[in-house]
Amino acid sequence: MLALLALAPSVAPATDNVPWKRIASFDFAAETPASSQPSDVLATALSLIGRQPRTERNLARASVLLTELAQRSDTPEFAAAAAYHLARLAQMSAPGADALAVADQFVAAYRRWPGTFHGQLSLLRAAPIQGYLITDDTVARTQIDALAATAQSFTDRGVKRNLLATLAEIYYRRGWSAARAQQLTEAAVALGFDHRILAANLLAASATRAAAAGDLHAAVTHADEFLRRYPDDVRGYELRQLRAEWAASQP
Amino acid sequence: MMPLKIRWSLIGVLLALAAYAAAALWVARRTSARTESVTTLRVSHWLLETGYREAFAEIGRAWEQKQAKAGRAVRFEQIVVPTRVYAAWMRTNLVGGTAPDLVYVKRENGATDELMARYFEPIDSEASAPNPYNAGTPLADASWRNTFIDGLAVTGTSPGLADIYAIPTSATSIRLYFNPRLLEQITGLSTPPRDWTEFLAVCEEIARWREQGQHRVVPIAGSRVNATLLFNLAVGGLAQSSARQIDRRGDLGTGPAELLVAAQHGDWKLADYTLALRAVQELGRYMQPGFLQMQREDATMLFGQQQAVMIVAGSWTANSLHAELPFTPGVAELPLPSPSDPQWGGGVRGAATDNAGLMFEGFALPRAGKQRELALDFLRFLSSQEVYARYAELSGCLPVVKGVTANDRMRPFQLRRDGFRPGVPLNQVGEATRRLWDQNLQDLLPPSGSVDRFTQLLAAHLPATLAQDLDRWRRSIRTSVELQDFLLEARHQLSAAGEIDLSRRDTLLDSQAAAESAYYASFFAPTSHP
Repeated sequence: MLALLALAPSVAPATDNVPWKRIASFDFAAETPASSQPSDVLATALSLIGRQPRTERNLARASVLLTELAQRSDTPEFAAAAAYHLARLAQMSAPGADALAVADQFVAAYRRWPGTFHGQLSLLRAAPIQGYLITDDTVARTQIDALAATAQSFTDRGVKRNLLATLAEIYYRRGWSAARAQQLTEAAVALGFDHRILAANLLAASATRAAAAGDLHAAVTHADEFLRRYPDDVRGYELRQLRAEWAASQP
Repeated sequence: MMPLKIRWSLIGVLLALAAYAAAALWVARRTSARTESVTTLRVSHWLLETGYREAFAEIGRAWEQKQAKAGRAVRFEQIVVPTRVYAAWMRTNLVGGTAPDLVYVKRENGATDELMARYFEPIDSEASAPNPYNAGTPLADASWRNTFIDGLAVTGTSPGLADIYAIPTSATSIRLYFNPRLLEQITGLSTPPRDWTEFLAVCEEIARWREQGQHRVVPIAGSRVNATLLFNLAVGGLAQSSARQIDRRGDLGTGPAELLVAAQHGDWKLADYTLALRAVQELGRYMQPGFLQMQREDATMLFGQQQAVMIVAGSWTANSLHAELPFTPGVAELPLPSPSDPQWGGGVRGAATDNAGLMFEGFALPRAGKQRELALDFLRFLSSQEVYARYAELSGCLPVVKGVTANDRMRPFQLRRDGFRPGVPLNQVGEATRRLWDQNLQDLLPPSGSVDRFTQLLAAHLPATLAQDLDRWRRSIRTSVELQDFLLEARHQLSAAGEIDLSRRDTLLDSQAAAESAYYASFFAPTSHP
């Protein structure tokens, strides 16, 4: 790794998060710090991946840096981040069904670093791959049931709510269990979403999935909550019509 | 002695040089004087329709005066660039570091996620604080973002980056204009048709009137642009039921992506659009011959010369239309069939909502801008309730600031929320399907087109174009997710270092997780409906 870093122009180690600020504005061309600090190594690897035109050489260099970082035991957060981005690199070249092997990489990253942001993020990435690309219903259901059980222990609120939402949609789309879809959607909504449109989407889905599960009382409650929180939403009228149907059909 | 001809040429050249020198000197002196004492805020946009430039000019002057009272000499300058070249112009100036202090952006006009993240500054933290120019109004305590009707969730937020980048200036809707005098003269009606059947009957009556040689007038003025607006309204309205059928998430939100995925797995059927296609053919009968080859200006002229009773146009052209017309037009919604209409109501659930009235579009702050605070100050001033009310009045826009109502002329354009989501028009599904639609539409339209022939053509070619568009959609999602990965990591590290709020990481994570889930879901072929 040191040899690789020596190829980079010599710049003092970053102390003010400049590399991350550059990456945040998609500036991948800037010189990267010649430092063995895990944050700098990770930033260097991501800059190499993002640099245009994308070259095999840059991707290979990034891969080496990430592999070495993933093996470091002194900084589990960065080791997990490196393993996560290695799996993402593999995912780039496996857009379709080939992604199932990548899902195993994500699951392995989670198992090794379950308490980290990137470990939990890895499982979020594995969920839609396994949920939609595994064609055998029984196998897929077993995997997704396991992910749903694991999600309960997640400590990162942002990752947890998104995993719950993703899993809920899988149960609903695959027609496995509207009740489970409703339960997981409600759990995701309860955690609160920062993205306003997605928060509204999920609340609307809570209502229709509850109705699909036959829980009309919950469907009405969620519809009321949606109409209260998003009075100007374009879906309000349709949801009011559905709410009236659900309310009229309640035992 | 110099020949006379040469002498005159020399004098001409000398005069031209003198004029150029004088002009250069004048510009230099003006520029020098300006840069010495006055700070100029440059703002670019493409809003060439009547009213917008005038409105910005007046608001700009008011802002200059406000600044002067605070002891700051500032000058407001608009740079108006035609839509056709705006995207290239914007990118060139952003890359070259010569962009104005505020740039009007729109996703469809070049403001991609990559461009926004690279060259513009997110304004989430500024949007979370109240707008001081709202002091003394009901919006005084509201965060700036919550002074907009959608909380900037759609209008201000870059979809792929999940950050607030833009301050919007207006919403949009599409309506039917009519000539009240002509309508009454020909049909005896003093109000526009209220339902679809009556609308078709009115069109038929006008067409017959023309055939009887009474007057050279067509029911509807058409052009490629205006006809597309009309057809999309009709298709959206008459294919509402399909929107419900392709909603696989159950969140009542459907768009082109849902149609593409549903079509791929056999959950969307062309047969559900048969009535909508029949409606398009019917409407085609009532526009002037060759309308698909006409420009918008041609249709406007036809309507203005009172040779057409109706025209369909967007809210953004309302002021221009009013300025160009020698009469005061009436404005109404395009009437739709009722669900109980035995002939036309098969796919209709009720009134249709103005689905696309809000979109990511507005003024954004370039990172390289040297007058960040001044630019933000202008945006706060422009979007404050009282000033924006004046802007809405002058520009004739559909307001996006809470508590500001549309002026009388724009009231009929107000976004309709009490309706069902429209079906997805086929020409909005993707580029390949749009081309298929546009290039073969004449096979549906009179005089020689037929619904059966057009349906057969679509049945033969749609699977391929929809597959192409699905591929393109998947590629765009992958590109977007890959870009978001860099941002997500950067925001994770920056939030861990206390440089930014964790919510900025998590908003992006929400957006990315939803996109990635949709991407993989597109490969799943459901065997039964949930």
